[in-house]
Amino acid sequence: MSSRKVAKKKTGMQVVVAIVVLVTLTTVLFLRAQAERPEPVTICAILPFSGIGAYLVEVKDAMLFAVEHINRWGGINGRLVEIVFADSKSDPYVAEQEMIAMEELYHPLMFVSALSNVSMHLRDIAEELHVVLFGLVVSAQDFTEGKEWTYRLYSNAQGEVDSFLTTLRYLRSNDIGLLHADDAFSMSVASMLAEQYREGTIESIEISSTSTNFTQPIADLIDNEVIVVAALRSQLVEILIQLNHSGYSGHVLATSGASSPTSRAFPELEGVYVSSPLFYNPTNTLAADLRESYLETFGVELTHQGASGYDLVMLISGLLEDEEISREHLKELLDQGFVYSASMGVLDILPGSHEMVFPLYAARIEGGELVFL
Amino acid sequence: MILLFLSSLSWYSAEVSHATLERTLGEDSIFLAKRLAAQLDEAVYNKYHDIVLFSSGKTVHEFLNESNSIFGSMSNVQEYIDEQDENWTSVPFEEITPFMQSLMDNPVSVSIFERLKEHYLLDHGVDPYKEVFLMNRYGAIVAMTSKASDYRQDDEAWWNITVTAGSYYSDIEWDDSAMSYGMSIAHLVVDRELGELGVIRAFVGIVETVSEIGLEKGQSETTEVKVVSSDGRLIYSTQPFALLEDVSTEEFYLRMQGSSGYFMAVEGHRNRLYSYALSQGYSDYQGHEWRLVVSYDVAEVMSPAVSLRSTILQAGFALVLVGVLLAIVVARSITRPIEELRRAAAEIAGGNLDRRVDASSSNELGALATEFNAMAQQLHDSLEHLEDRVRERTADLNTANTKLSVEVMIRKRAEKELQHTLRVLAQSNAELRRFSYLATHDMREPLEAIRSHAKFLEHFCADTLGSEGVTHLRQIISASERMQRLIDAMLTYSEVAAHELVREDADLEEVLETVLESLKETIAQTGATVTHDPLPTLHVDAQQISLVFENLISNALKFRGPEPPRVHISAEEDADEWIFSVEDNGLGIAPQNLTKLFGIFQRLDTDPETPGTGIGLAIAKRVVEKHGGRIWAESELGRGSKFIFTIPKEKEPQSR
Repeated sequence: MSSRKVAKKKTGMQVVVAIVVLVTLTTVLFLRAQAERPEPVTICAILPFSGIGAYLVEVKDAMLFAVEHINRWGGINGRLVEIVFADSKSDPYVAEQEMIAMEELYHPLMFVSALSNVSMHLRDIAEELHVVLFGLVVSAQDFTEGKEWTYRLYSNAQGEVDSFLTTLRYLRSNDIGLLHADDAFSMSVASMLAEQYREGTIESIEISSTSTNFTQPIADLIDNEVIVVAALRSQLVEILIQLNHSGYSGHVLATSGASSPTSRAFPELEGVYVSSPLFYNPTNTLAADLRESYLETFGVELTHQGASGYDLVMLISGLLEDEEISREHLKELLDQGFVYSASMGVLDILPGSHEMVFPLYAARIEGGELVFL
Repeated sequence: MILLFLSSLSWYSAEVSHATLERTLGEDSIFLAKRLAAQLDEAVYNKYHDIVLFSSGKTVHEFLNESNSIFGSMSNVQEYIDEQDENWTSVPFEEITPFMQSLMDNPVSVSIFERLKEHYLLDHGVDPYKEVFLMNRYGAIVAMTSKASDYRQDDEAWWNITVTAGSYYSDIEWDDSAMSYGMSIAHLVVDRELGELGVIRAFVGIVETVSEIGLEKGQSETTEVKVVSSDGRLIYSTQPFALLEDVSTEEFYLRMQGSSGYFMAVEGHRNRLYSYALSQGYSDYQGHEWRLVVSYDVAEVMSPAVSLRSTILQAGFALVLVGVLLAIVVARSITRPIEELRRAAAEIAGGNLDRRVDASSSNELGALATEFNAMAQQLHDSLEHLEDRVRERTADLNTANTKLSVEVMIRKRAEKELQHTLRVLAQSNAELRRFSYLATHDMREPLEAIRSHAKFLEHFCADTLGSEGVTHLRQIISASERMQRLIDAMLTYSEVAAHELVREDADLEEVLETVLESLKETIAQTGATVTHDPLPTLHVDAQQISLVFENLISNALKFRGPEPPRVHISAEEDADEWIFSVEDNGLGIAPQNLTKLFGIFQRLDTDPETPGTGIGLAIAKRVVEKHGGRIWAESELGRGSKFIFTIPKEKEPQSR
């Protein structure tokens, strides 16, 4: 073999050895980095991306917005946060299947659900699994009652009722009609309002939560000076529009779903009194900052439903800072009570309370904006 | 070195930038902490100021004055207050009695609700006034926004302070009726004309108060604000926290020294930049020496410096990389032609003289490549020439080899023939020697018989034979005696030829003496004088050497001149041999006969009376040659003869 061929062969061998060394080194470093990377903190969220609660897809975006913020600065105790989402299709039984599957697959730190009817169903599974379940946009009054692992982060039916009572006092009217859907949230609001309104009686009509035509119930209540509407946001806006189109001239009070920017954008909702969280108060600087940055990022307004998702992720992150990350310890931290300035307002949670409830305030839609009473 | 210097400079610049930014951020955040602390003090003061403003209104004054008048008109006001207080505390806290409700629904209470609670809620988005109570000068509640824990208030510590000092600010405390932590602020309501009317007290939520001023609005995403009491308890945090949690043992608290400052500390898993400032109070509010702590993730606030450092380092790295690559390229541009030259040289060394290198470069390497190619071409040409010459020489060599082979063949054949001839000759010689020995030996006996019978006849039959017969008889005897000598000589010659030398150290003096002794009678008869030089002792066959001396001396005596014979034997040592000579003053020998002397049966003397066999010199020659020497004669007629022979010295074994 000539010396030239030998030299070529030698050079070829050197290149091959260099490549092998490089690839091996890269692989080792990659595997080492992978091995050294701490496991993420997994949260499973079962949200309605379809069905009557489909509008709550914004909760997902807000949660991801919070996760992005947390992970940008190192996650929780050096562990990144990941949220695995599943579509409950607004159906409790679909949600149940998803929850069981997610528990099997991810064994998450905690579960998050939305909508009262879905969350009320999932809480029993959470109790069985001994995993924290946070209900977002769950207003059913007794959601956490008697439960160990179930928590709420939202306004509740009482907040809606308090706001209604304030408005009714403001309006000094005793001629009240109540149109409510038959979902858990609306039913809670209706029953509590009927119970707590002492100035008079309320004419109440129940409609199906899947109903889309409200001509008849509106006609039945049109003579009342005030009509209170309690329904989920998706149905609520339609009821209010039809009520407006019916030529009703009295005062209309609506549950907090109507206070969201997307609802307020409908001209038919002009003048409607709503229960509104502090989130929309322009003097709430924390919320204002959040709304601004969210709008910049997603190009749409952040609603208070979405904000509850953001607040939940930030709250959990703050609670677990420098703490053991486990289901049991998370429950301990939640049960110890805490104070937290969230975008939805200040949470001053007493030990043992599972209700992280934001108050609702009476407001009126004027020019698409909220004017607090 | 330059790259190293640039890298070091980059690193130093990055570090300086980092340190500068850290100092700037620290100082800025101290400023922020001071500003927030001042805002917090102002916010607390404003709460006090709000209740002062509210209580200074005419409505409140009239309301209190009226209440004081009613209470003042009572016969036993203290008893009334005690009784109401007992009724108050006797019902469950959650229960609102009509009396309580009346206190909450009166116009002043509604006014308090609207002007304080709702105002803050709408204007600031928070409701810091957890509860507000108005007490008349007797310490009884006359208006309230929510149910108080009891009716009588003049037994509280804050009451006495307020009444005494005119104002009261508590530190953070728990309030049973508000069911939360906050601070109590109270103001003594005084009318210029009516004097002290009562006290207004508000329980202010600290979280709401802090939230109101927007402490959570930081400079960065990771901003956290804490308010810590003078005894190290957490009053507020932008993170979830437990009110009044003891943080006095935490690093960030322990590192706070003086009224303001900044430092880096690790909290949890994060490096944070802390700054702090002490609340100094506002107006007549003296403050509670709370520490307002602002912290940021270093990773975020230092990101410009980190980014700058990263950029500088990347640029530095890129510079070094480019430098290294450039160096590699330059080195390659140099080493590649050299490597090519090396390979070309190796190939040429391996026999590929057609190999050439790229000489297109215009630099020194190009010149070197050109020279290399020229050298290779020269080598190529030289080799071709050399090959031609080799081919020619090879052809010549082949021819010579062929010839040599033929010659060798011829010589081998000749040598074979010679060997054969030698073998035949040796065989013939042996047979001849055997024959001559046998012949001479066997011939002696009949010859002796002839001579004996002739002698007998001469002695006993001389008379009968007559004189002519005796003459013939004597001739027979003489002939037989001559024959006898001849046979003896031949026998001697044969023995000399046939026998191997028996060498021994022989003193040639003694050998010569023995010879002279045997010739003593002849010497005496001829009157000869025999002299000799000292002779050496040599390793020779003494018996045969004595034949040489005997034959040469007897010849000298035999062929004498008119003068009595003088014979001188000499010995001379040469480098390689001993040279012996026997010189006489005899007849001398004609030059043409000198070469015939040593042939067998060569008699130069034609006189039959001269005794001699013609074999003596042949024997001498045979003996000398057997010893490896030579023999020859030098003579002139009438001037004597000199017979010279040599005996080679035996070579000493060479020492190593």
